[in-house]
Amino acid sequence: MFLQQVFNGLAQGSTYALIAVGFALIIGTLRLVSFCHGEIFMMGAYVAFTVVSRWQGSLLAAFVVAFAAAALLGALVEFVGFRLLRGASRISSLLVTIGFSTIFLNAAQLIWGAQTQSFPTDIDSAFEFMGIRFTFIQIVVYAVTICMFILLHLLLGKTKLGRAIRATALDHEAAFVMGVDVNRIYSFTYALGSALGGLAGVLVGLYYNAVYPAMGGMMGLKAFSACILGGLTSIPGAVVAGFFLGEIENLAVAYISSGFRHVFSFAILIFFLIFRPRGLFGRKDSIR
Amino acid sequence: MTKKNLIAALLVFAAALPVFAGGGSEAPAQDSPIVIGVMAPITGDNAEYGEFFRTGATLAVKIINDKGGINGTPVELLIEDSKSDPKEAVLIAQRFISNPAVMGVVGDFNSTASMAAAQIFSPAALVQISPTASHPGFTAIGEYIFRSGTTQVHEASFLARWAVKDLGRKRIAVIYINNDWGVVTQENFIKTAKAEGAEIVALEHFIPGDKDFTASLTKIKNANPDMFFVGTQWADAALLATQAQKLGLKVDLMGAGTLATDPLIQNAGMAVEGIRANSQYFVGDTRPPSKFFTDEYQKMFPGRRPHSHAALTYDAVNLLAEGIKTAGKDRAKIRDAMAGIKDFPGATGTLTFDAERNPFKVFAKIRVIDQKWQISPE
Amino acid sequence: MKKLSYALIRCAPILGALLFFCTLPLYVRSDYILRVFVQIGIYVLLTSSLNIVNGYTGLFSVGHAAFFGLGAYGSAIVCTKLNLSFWQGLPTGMLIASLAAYVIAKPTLRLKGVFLTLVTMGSNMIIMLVFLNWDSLTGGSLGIMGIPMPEIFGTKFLRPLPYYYLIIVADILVIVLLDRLMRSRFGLTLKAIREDERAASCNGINVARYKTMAFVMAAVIAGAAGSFYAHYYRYISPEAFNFTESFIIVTMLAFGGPGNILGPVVGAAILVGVTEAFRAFADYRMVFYGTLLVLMMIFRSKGLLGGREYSLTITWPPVKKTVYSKGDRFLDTEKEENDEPAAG
Repeated sequence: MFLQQVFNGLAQGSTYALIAVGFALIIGTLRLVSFCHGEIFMMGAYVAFTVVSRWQGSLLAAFVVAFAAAALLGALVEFVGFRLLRGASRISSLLVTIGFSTIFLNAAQLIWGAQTQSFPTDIDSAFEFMGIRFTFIQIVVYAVTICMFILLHLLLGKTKLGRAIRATALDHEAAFVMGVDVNRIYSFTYALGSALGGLAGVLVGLYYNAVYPAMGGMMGLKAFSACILGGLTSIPGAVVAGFFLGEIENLAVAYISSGFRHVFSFAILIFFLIFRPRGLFGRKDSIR
Repeated sequence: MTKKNLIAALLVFAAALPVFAGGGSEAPAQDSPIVIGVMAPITGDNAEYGEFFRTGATLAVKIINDKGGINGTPVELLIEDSKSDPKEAVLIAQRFISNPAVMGVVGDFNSTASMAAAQIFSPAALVQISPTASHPGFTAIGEYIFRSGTTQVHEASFLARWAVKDLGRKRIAVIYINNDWGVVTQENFIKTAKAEGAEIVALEHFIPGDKDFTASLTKIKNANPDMFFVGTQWADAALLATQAQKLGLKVDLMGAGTLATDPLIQNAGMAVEGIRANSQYFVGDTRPPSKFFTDEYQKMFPGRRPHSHAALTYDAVNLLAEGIKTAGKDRAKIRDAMAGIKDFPGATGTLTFDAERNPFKVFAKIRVIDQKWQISPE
Repeated sequence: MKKLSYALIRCAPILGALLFFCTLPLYVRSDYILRVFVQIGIYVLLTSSLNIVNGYTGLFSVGHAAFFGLGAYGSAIVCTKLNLSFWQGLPTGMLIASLAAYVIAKPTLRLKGVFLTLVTMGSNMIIMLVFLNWDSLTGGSLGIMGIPMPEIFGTKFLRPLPYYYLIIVADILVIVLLDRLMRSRFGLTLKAIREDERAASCNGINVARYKTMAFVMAAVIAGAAGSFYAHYYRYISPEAFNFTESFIIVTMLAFGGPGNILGPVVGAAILVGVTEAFRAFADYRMVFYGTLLVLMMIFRSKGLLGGREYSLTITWPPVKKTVYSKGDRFLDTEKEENDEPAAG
């Protein structure tokens, strides 16, 4: 039972981790909290749903299209909420993201309807291994998550673009002076972070076999928590914290009470904010 | 004024204009149509259910008007979006009261909004009939407050007796959604089940919005129940069933009447095969009024499957119409006429109001057999 | 006598507003409009109180609904369990909200920027979960029903009219008090913290203490709004106080203009007005609402009245435009402030 619970937590944790990574990328580079990350996550799920169920596309195509669509939406939000508001205060940008979250949520309702719809998949088998049940979709979730982390790691660590992103995150003025097109980096990072969020949406839709307009709300909050826990701007931190949150929640439900699921994750959040605001992996200077 | 200021000012002005334009209510002419107000969450988190309200009410009114209206007067619907928000519900209630043409109100969907509105309707003497509000105290708010759906007290006790007395199950696991509906359902189910001699081996709950139930389900699996009661709406039940299947939890499922809908089967497939529920209405219902409703609904909204919420709304509108037919355009008399309704042949069963204005209906026992809701053999 | 007439002239805008709103029900004979005003009134209280924190002190809290909820629950619980009246529930709600604000503010206000924002959001969520899970006291998800209506001299508040007067008086009282307060030493200190926290603390301001005071003060007013809410709607449940409610309050403030005494009034009135006015376009109105917010931020990121400060009083007699040396002028304004009568 314990192992099974740990394993369940892992699956949930990996979706948290994926959405939190995108989030951390955005916060780290743009120093902007995006309140519409959860809604972009939802849009990703819906786009993939449309590809699979309406256009009879393959799952792979769904992943690709959802990734691209979420990236586009992200770029749009960045353009309006950040580029157009360069001189304004940070709070205006936050409010723009709140505005976009309302728009996305209600637009999704208008386009796809408010009802919960099931994600049609034909990969739905389960097998048992050492007393733990695995499902094929869980494996897909792990595989995609891990692939994304590796790709992201390579992108940030080994490419010129990745170096530019890291430089901008560290000090955008210095990066600008060194010839980095900071505006382009901002757009790209926001789009990439959103795309990862959208991908997480597809995975969650697939894993729970359900897409519905309100699916982003709670996920957005969990991404916040995971990010803070991980140190806000740290990408490995967000990954570890995502898994950690997934585990804590599952174990809290398993061994304490199901009412405590969210109490726990938010209590941990507040505990960390008070006693170790830089989270598990954050640098000291990340607190601004 | 700079250009930006000008644009901003224009924006605000444009936005605020209708506020000042609207508001007044004009007295109705003698032969003006009868207006029935509907308040439902057309947008917001419960928009999915608000849609059933809209379709159910629209259908009922169309059928009434096709038959020549109520005593020859056509009926009109006034649908207002409450977003399930008590603040909006109160404003809508006030609008309905101030509009003398409104003869009765159907709504709201959830108890919070319904009850906030009931505080306004009741003293103002306008009938409110909610198809789905399940809070036990709802109709007690006032003489003018009705329900068209049975209370969870009836429904859950019925299910518990079915599980324990008729099917002989002794080890029951329960999961419920922690809102007023789920709590009342669960409390009454457990009370009756225990009284009948069953043991509750696991009791889990979750808050609205949660979608990962694997932790709770693993616990339930380890408790080894012989019956699993899901006190949720259908969307959560579909998730519960599929996740239970993936975890290898093989147990008979049972749920409330709100599960009796096709999307449950479409979403959960074989995971819900064999699930039991009580029913006020389901798509395969063969009782003549129910069948009539199903056929007409599919004719009017092609491609959509009716749902018990739509049927309950349809009945609510018809109950109001019945009251108006007897009493004429008099809000107070309509209430008395409605309270006296007996053996009304609704799409959700033959209905009689008790002294508390809650309906009493006979439930059908239904089950998913061969991926279709059917009358249960046992 | 002369002093009194001067005082009257100085307070003319306030008195005018009071007169206008008190006589409004005479021309507007629609209970619906009155209820819209009551709702705006509740939001004006909430938004004005948030203005102390977000507008004047420069923090960004998005958990204000927590204190709103605590006020509502505090008042509702004592009134239903102990059979008290609204007038006893109101201070209880305010007290509970302020205590909670103190407990939350004390350790968290040293956090900055995004961190503070998230901690306020998290505490909002936790407080809502407490409402939901503490069944024996809060009724859990069933909420609390049968909250008594306010009574005055034995007359119950059956119709919206008395609620309207109550909230109008509360609004004007709070706005006038805040106007005074924000131009006092206390308010100037808050603004100093907003403009440059480090400089403020270098000048001997106990930043943490002032921030906590601002936070608690905001919670007291939000608690009062909550108590009013509970006794007006007479049924409360946890879902009314989650963070989407906080977002609405934040949006209203941003819309009207943070840091301006009338910003909250404008923001609350417009946003409630817009949602009501576009009732006919049910499906599209929330999209419209979001778009309006985005456009507003693009074209006027400080809100409608942002970046400016209005005074609610007229300077009377008019100050002659004499050229003072800098030092003299400083003295003069000091003197004038002491002369001003207490408004409200």
